[in-house]
Amino acid sequence: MVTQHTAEHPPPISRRRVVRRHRSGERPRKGNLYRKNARTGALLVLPALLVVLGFYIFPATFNLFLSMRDVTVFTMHQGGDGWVGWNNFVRLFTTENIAGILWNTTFWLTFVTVLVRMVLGLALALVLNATIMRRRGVGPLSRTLMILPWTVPPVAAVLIWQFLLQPNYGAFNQVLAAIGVLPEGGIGWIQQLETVWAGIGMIVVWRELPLVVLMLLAGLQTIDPDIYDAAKADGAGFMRTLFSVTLPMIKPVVVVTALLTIIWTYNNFVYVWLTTRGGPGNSTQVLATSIFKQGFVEYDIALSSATAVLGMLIMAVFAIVYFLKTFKVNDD
Amino acid sequence: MAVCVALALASCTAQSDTTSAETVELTFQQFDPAAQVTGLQAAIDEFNASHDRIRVTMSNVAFADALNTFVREAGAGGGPDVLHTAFTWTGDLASNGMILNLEDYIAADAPGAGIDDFLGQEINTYEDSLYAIPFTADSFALTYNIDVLAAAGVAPPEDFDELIEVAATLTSGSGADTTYGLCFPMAGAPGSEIWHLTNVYLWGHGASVVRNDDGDWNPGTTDEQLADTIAYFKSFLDNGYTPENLLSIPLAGDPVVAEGLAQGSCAMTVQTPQQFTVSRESNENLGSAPLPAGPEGRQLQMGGRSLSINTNSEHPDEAWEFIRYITSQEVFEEYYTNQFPAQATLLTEATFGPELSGEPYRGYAESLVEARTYVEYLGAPAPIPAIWNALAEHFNAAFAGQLSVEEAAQQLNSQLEQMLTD
Repeated sequence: MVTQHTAEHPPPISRRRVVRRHRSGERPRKGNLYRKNARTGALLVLPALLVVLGFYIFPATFNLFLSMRDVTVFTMHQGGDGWVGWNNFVRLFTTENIAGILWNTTFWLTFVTVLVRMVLGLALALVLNATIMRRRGVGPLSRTLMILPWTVPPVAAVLIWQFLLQPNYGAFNQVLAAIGVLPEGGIGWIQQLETVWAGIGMIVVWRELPLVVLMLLAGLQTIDPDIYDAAKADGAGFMRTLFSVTLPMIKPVVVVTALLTIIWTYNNFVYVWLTTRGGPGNSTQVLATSIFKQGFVEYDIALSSATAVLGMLIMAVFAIVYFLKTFKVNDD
Repeated sequence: MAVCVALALASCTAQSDTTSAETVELTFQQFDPAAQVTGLQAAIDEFNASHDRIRVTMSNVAFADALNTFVREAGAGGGPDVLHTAFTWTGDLASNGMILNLEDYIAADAPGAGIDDFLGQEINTYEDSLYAIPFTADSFALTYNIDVLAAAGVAPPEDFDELIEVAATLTSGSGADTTYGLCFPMAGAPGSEIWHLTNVYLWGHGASVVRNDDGDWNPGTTDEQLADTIAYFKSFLDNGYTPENLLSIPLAGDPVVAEGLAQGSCAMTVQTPQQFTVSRESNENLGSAPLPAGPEGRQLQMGGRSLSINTNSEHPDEAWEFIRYITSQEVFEEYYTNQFPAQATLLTEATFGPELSGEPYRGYAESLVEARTYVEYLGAPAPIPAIWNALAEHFNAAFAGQLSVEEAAQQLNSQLEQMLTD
């Protein structure tokens, strides 16, 4: 049957014609259908736009407003006691240990724990993806066991680890002392300056590792086994296969996983606050805990807001990198 | 059917309005742990049973969140009708118009044996008016394991020099079998109880954390005095009289301290009556004594809870009626028996329940008579919790070795100067 095209039912525009129009700079005619589609599109986008406005743009703008006011917890409901301009930012950079806080957040909390998670996560994902695991029929069981720490609420995870890491009676110390790695009585992992970040890092890695493993495992499972067979036939060993086949093929997944993990970790409040409250002294204070301490312990909402603005700017950089990488990955 | 539903709804609405016109619903928000307020709930049940027109519902909030929660709710025009406040919060809440001035109510119908009988009035006063009624009073006392002290042949220390000597005598053993002479919270966390012990030490040495020089606020100690104070407490840790894990523990109610005292791994601690009661649940053979004296004598600290009426309350008269009842002798004798009332007459005349009576609590009973509040810090440009946190953080930094004792003292005083100038 031959379709009769009319003004109301125009023939479909071919892809080639669209490309030609695009290259020649010719703009599509804005007919009724275009306008109708545009309205529908706007309506579909509207709920998301309202959510972004209500839950991100407005709070962020209000936070910026507070960061330039003289405001405490007690005066926040009336918007504070007046404008102070950049004074809160001057206070932040002159009276707070902001360099130490940024270093703790960037290096110890984020870089170290993300790196450990990515390396361990890849190793575990490779093990779980190994042919022998499938042959022995333990794949599903081992994946279930591996995901268990992720099901423990972060608060419970911190409490459990605080007990494990206690000197004298903590199981972690007792085991290490029994095999002679540590002296009798163990060490105060979260009490000593030298070990406190190792203690916090252990908790973060233990609780958050499963997500990394799951994402990398999903990436590994997209690789065609024939490629491994071909590499094996060419005489490639494990390391050569890992660096020349596996990693290049899951690179997009690794990049996205690393970026998401960085963003979630940089913002994290729970692990440091519940484990050390930023101590000993202020040696583990990070951006999120500083914002809380300034605002809700010292009631200095103005300084807290200024710190939050700084944190928001840093996170914006991560977010932009994430989006650029994500779109690049999709284009590839 | 639609008509029936409409009629049913209309009758429900009418009934609801009638009920609200007859019975006033009040909310009382308190912040002590739920296990410690069963008696308070029983007292409220009794109040509800004996008052047809008022019904009080108790809501619980964690101490650490109580102030922020109330300020947020009050700022939005809500919040409970009656609220538990710490003594040190009254000034900030009153100056920001969040709680009612109670002078008219007191003049018309005073609670207890008259308002002059209440302890801690000065810290609940703002611009010569009382904004909160002192409800309960507590103090920190030196608590000890009677068996451990008897075995070592020592008595509870009387002054701070003796405290370190006795702690040294009581410390013994090694590893998991160590008995530590003195266990006290050393964390830099918000609310760390090192604050109270430090104030008792400084007051006993004629100093304070901050002081008001005729309206000019300054740090209350020299850098050298402060360094000596930090060094004194640090010496317990350095000499092994105090366990290292207390560096991350802010409260003596933590099982490491409370259970440590009961089991004897901590010979002495510094606790509130409620924390001491928890320890005594595991071992009754524990005692208490007032905290040690300094060269200027024994200068003890008194804290407590007050009762305030939210400015947003639509039923302040009924709220006042509830406050009068809940501060009565009957409540402290029959229901709320695990707290000391902040009333001089009741402290001497009331018959307390087994929780607070007898020799084990002697230290608290003696302390409350002599204790002083933090009223001298009120009115400082920085709120007390901010000063408290700065002190705990710097002391902890020195304890853990992040700063030297001298650096911690100098940096703390600098920070206090800055906070008091802003």
